[in-house]
Amino acid sequence: MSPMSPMSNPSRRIAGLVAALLMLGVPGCKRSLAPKVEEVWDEAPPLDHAEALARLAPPWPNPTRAVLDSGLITFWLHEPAAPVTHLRVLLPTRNDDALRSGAVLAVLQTHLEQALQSRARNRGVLVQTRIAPDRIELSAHGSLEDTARALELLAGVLGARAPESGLETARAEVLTQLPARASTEERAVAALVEVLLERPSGSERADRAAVEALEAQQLLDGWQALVDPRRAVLVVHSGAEASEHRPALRQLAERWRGTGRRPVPPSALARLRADPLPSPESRGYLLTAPTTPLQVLPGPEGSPVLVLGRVLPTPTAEERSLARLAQRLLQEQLDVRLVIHGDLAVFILRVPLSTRTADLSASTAIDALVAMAAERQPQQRLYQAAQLWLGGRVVQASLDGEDWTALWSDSMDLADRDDGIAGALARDAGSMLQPDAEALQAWLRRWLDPRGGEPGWRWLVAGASDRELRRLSRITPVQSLDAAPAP
Amino acid sequence: MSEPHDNADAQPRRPSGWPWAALLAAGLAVLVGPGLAVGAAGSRTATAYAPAETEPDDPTGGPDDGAGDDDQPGEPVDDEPGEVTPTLDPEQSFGLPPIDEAQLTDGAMLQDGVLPCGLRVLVAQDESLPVAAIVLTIETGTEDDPPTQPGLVHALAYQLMQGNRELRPAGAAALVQDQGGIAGLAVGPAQVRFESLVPISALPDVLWVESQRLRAPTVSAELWASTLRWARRDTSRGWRAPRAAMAAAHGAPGLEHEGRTVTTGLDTMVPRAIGQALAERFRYEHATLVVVSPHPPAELRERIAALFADLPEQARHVRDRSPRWRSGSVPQAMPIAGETGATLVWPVAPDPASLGQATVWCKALNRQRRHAGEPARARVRCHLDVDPRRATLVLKVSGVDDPVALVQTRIDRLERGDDAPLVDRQRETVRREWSVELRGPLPLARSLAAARIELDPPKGWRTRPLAALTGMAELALSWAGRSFGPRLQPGAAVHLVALEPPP
Repeated sequence: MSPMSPMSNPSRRIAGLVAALLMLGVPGCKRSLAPKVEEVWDEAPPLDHAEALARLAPPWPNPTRAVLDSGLITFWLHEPAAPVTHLRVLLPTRNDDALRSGAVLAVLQTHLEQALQSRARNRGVLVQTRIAPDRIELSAHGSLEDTARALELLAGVLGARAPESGLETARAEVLTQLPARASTEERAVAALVEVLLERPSGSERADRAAVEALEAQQLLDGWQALVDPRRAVLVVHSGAEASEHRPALRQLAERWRGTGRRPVPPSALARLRADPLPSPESRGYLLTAPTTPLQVLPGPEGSPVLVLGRVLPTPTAEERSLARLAQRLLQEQLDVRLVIHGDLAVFILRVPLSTRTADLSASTAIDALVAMAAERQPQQRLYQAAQLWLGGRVVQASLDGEDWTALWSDSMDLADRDDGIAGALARDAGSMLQPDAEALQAWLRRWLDPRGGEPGWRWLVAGASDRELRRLSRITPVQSLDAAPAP
Repeated sequence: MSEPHDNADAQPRRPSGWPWAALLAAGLAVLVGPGLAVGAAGSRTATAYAPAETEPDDPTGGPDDGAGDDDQPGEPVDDEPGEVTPTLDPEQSFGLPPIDEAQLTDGAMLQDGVLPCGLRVLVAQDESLPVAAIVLTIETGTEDDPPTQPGLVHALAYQLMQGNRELRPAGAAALVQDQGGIAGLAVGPAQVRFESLVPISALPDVLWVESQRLRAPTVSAELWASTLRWARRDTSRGWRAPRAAMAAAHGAPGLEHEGRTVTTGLDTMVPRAIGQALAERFRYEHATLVVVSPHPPAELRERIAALFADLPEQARHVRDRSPRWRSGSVPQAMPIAGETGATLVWPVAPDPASLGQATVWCKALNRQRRHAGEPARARVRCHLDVDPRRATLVLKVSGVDDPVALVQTRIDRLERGDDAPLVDRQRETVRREWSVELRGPLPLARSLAAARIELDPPKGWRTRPLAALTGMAELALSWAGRSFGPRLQPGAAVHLVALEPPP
């Protein structure tokens, strides 16, 4: 970006050098060359720039936290003069047996979306649903004047006791939308996640047969478990104060109530966090003893794909930052994916396999991971990766309508207690902006080196032909997914 | 303005994976921080960003299909052209009287100034998130193409992304994207915009880029070939009104041609000619820089002024884009192949307030009830082709023998106030929609980039109410008892009629 140097012309540079040598009277004796020093671009970032980046979190105030009569925990974020209201309901999906099927969840999410949209039509309120780790989120967005109307809309949908016909309509819709044949990659990733998180088969994917086989009572049980306000969390971002909408909140609590006896976690984070962590130390390495066998996902042949991954513990902001930075750097060469949910993250690498040299595709990808773990990254490169990640997050939030509730939801995944949610985004941002090249290298060696470091790697191939499996069996034991678990 | 509350969007096909698996299978966009889907270095070039004027939504909530399916041939109309009024009345966009800015004291204010180099600068504040929107708008567009070189302005706009002495080719976009931001280009009939949305940490860099962009752009045969390759990837924009009708309605013959076509004549341009064409059309005295950020505007304006302080003094020079208003009592008949006399086209003045008024007027027409004396199948459907400088209203009439008479009757009802509650409801709806949409810094910056052109603005800085420039001030007042004025009468329109059969 700087203007061209006046000495950039080579002939002028040489002439200058010759003149300098003549003036200094340097004798023309032989001199040994200076040792070659490898350039390390390790400058610290400018202070004001780092400070500006560290402020890349919403300027939200401490929220008004309340527990409604129905047991619903509510966070109300007030932004003075904002002409809008955003509502977001977080519905956990893990801590109940009725919700352990991907097929049930697909139908329930579709029903929520259909019911919200039919009620919101022509009422000036935009409604959406989205999935997040171990929860479904539904949101309503409108102008400030629509706040009470949006709360009423949520009460109407979530307060429905037994929406049998709606659930059947949603089931039909899911069947319409599900592809006749899921892609190889989708099947592989779902199967690997189930293996990594020790979850039952079918919990991470909805297939047509499972959706068709669902009984009406299963759907109703799932509905009642999902929309129980005693386990849900409501986040509001509005130009109005919570006190202005007490009547609407009271009505929400009256119309939307839970049924049956269920445990009622007292904090929002306890409601949203899922089962305990799987124990990663019980499993093996890739291509190194003790080897984790390559599991083969049964199913039709297609474009063969290999997915490998592991669970990462991310209990602190520093560990989450290192995981994100590692992912950013790896992403420049490999198709790596990372989802962080509190003190647990799942890391996955996807490798499209060559149909001729499938074994080479697999070992090359693993070698790339090992090489990255062995290399120290320059400080400035880490800072750029952090800058890109943090900047991208806040820019996307702006494009998505400046909805603080979405960022609050992200922040809940980073906090360790309810009163730490407000500061969690900024704390993680600050941690990312103090990257330590040595710490990252140590972390990479420990967690993302499949031939060394911590064991706990799993891998799986889908869509491979017999020929490709034979090639793969040259480098690692191969077994069917239904076979015995890895060492 | 897009329709922010549209619940009828088609849903993407459902993946079969469930939460963790779906997130992990969704690809990088979800996983690395959503901004990177559009902002990652190398993941997307600036030129791949869809121009804002490509397919804007019809904000009127009007019909989107089949409005003319049951059209019946209209009766012959008086084709005597109405009187053309070429003069601009800058104080009155449509029928509503101008807003008195001095009375708008309780809303957000912005800084509006003209720098010595002739650049107009608008600086507004938005503190909701630590992001900034920067839009450099040049008041030139495809309608300014030379007749022998259609597509020239579109291609030149791409050439401005090829850098200069200070910026490598595509360097401006890379600087934005490497910091997590997005950069884009919008080319319209009368406006070109370079848009960025960045985290505030990147604001100084982007302001510097915009202070450099128009200075001696790099030109070479090789870069020009690359520019034309990018320009050729853009598709044509679909307008509701035929281009010839738009050109006639606005009195701008340049609107007749497709400005996004890269003709073979452009391939043969030599660097000297390209440089000269750039220097003539893309100058800071033709431009407006809009910045929306969390910083106090009064503080930021000084930083911006310093970046342009080394440029020579220039008088501001911006072309007037006001339509050539017609004031006759009958619409100007325009024979066009395939038309049946059921379509009328109006120009909309080039400012957000007029666009807001046209939106309300159009929504009200779409929702008017049939009068007792009208045929049972009588139907009027209104569409709005949105553009910051060349917006056009299109009215399609069906189910009657005399479409112009039906339109006149409907407009008379609006003028008399018979449908005042309906109009006020639509005004309130549009006000709410705009207030939600303009909350984002990028939509706000785009709206400000469309602010009314001032042909002879005062030098120096003014503190002005934001609502006066975005059109929100007009939408905030009740319109009961107020007239829309002659510019929305049939006499101001162009009436598309069938071609005369050959003798």
